[in-house]
Amino acid sequence: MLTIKDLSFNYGKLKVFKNFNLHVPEGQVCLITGINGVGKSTLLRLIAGVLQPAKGEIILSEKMRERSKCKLGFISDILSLYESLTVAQLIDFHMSVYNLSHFDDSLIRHTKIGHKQKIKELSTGQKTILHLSLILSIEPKLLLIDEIIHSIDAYLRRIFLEQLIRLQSERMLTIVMVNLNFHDIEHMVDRVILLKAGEITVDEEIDELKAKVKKIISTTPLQALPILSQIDFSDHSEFFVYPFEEKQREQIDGEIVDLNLTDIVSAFIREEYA
Amino acid sequence: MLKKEFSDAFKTFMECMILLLGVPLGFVFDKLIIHYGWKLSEIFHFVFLATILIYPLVAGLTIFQSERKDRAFEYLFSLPLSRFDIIMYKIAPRFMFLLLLIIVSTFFSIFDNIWINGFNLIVVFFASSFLSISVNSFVIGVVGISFIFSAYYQASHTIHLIFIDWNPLKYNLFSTIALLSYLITAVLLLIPMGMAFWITFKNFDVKPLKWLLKSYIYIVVPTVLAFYSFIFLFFKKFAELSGL
Amino acid sequence: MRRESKKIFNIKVNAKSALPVYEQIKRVIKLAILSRHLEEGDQLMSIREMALKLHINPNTIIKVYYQLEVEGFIYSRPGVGYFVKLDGNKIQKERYELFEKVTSEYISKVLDLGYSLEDMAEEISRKTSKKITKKILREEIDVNN
Repeated sequence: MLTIKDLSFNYGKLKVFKNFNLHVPEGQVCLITGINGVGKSTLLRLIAGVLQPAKGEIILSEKMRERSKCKLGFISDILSLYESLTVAQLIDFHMSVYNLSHFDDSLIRHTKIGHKQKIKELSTGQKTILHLSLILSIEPKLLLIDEIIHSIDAYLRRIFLEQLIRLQSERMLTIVMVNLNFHDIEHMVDRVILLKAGEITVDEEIDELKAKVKKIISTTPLQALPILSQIDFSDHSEFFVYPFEEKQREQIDGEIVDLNLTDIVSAFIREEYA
Repeated sequence: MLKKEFSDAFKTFMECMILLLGVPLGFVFDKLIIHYGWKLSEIFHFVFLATILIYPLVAGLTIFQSERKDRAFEYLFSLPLSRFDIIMYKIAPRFMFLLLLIIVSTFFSIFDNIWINGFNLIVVFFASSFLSISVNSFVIGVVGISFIFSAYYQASHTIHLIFIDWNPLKYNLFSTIALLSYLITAVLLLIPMGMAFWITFKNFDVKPLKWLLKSYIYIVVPTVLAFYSFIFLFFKKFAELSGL
Repeated sequence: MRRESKKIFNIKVNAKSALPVYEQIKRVIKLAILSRHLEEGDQLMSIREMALKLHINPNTIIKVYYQLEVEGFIYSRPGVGYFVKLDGNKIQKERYELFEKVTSEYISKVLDLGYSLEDMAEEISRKTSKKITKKILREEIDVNN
C-alpha cells in the first residue's frame, strides 16, 4: 500500500530524515509515536504530498496511483480548512475538487454542525468531525491522521473511532496515525512505530511489543537483562526490559508485570529524557 | 476549485472598482470645497487610470490571500490537484478580469485620451503573482513591485531607444519596435521571476518565511540588479535625450 | 441467541495483559461455547458489530473468528455470518481440558494462600451443598482467571 524508499528531507539546515524507509501493508493500522519535534507530522505531510521529499520516493500502491491523491485522506494537526467559508460552501468545494456526486452529512448533522456556520466559528471537536466527514466522503484507501484524536471530547472521539472501525470493516482501509496519547486507540492499532531523531527505533506489532516489554519489580539490580529505563523507589526499583524473552521468566528475581501501550511507550521515551 | 477562485477574483475586482467611486466623490468634493474646476471627464480619466493600474497589482499580490488568511495551505496541497493545476486555477480568473479591464480601457481610448498599455498591465499582474508567495505583507509587496516595475519600464524604454539608435524622430510608443522592446524586457524579467516562484511554490511549506526567500534572493534580486545596472549604463544617454 | 448468551456482551478487554487482545476475546467466546451459553447454530455478532462494540480494530476480530473457525468452533456462511459449531467429542475434550486447567489454577492459588487440600475439599462440599453455584454462574465471566 505505502512504501517509503530512502527518503531524505530537510528543514533548512536541519536534516529531518535521511535514507528513511518504511512499508505499510494494506489494511494495517499503524501508529507512529515519539517525542515532540522528532518528525512525525513531517512524515505524514510528506506522505500526503503537502511536502516534497528532497531525495527518495514515496510510493503508493497501484490502487492509489491511478487517482494519485484521490484515495488519500489527510487530517493535519492544525485542521487546515478554508476558515472563511461556511460549512455548506466547503462541502461544495470539496465535492467539486473530488468529483463527488453526493455527500453523506449524517455525521455532521449528528454533531449539530450548522450548514450556514463559518468554519472559524466551529469548535475544535466540530472541525475535526467535519474534516473527518470530508475525508470519508472520498472513500479513502489510506488515511493519515495527525494527533487530533485526543484534542476532542470523549464522545466525539468515540464517534470518530467508530467511523474508522466501520470503514475498516467495510473496506481494507490503511491508517497511519500519529498520536501521543493511546488511551482510546490502543485496541485499534496493529503496529507501533517509535521515531527518534528521524529514525525508527522500534517497529513491532502491538501484541509482539506487549510480549517483549515488561516491567520487573525488584529489590536487586537486574543482571544481564536489556534494561530500557528504570524508576527507583526507596526500597525497590522498577525496571523496564526490552526485549523480554519468555525463557528468562524463571531466572528473574522479581515480579514481572505486563504493560499497556502507554506504559510501554513511556518506558522508551523515559530513556530519551534520562 | 475554479468556482471558488472565480468568486475570490470577482471580490478582488469589485474591491478595486470601488476606487471608481472616487469619480463622483472627487467631482462633488471639487464643486463644494476646492473649486479647482475639475471636469468630470478629467476626474474619470485620473481615477480610471489609477484603478486599472491597481487591479493587476492587487490581484497578483493577493493570489494566495485566502489560503494565508484561512490557514488553508495544507488542505489545498493535500487535494488531488497538482501544483501546476492550482496555479492555473488561481491565475485564470484573475487574468480574465484583467483582460476585461484592458478591453474596456481600449474601448474608452477610442473615445477619450486614456491610453493604457495593456501589455504593461499584464506584466504587472504576472510579476505581482510571482512575487506574492514570498511576501506576507501587502505593503512590502507593493514596494517590491514598484522597484521591479520601474526597472522593467525604464529598461524597456532603454532597449527601445537602443533599437532606434537613440534617434528621437523614430520614437513611437505604438511601433512594432516598441512592442518588441516591451516583450524582450518582459521575458527577461518574468522568466527568472517565474522560476523563483515555481521553485518556491513546488516546495512550499507553512514554515517561516526565511525558507521561502532563498530562490528569490538568488534569482530575482540579481535579475533586478542586472536591470538597474543596464539602466545605469545607458542613463547618461537617456538623460540627454529626455533633456531635449 | 438465547438469553443466557447475553453474557457474551460483557466482554472486557484488558489492555494490561500478557494475553493479546485477540486471544482474550477468543477465550471468552470459547468459554461461552464450552459452557453451552452458545448453542449449535447460534449466530455470532458480525465482525463489524463486534469491533464497534468493543472499540477495537476489525482486523483483530477477523483474526479471532478465523482462528475459531480453524479450530472448529465456528463456521462461516458467506454473506450471512458466523455460526457456532458444536462437535460433540471435541467440545467434551476441550471442556475437560479447561476444567483441568481451571482446577489446577484453583489448587495452586489456594495452596499459595496457605490452605491445605483438606480445607479445599471442605470448602467445595460446603459451597455445592448450599447451591451457591448458581450465584457464581450469574457473575461475569472473568477471562483472566
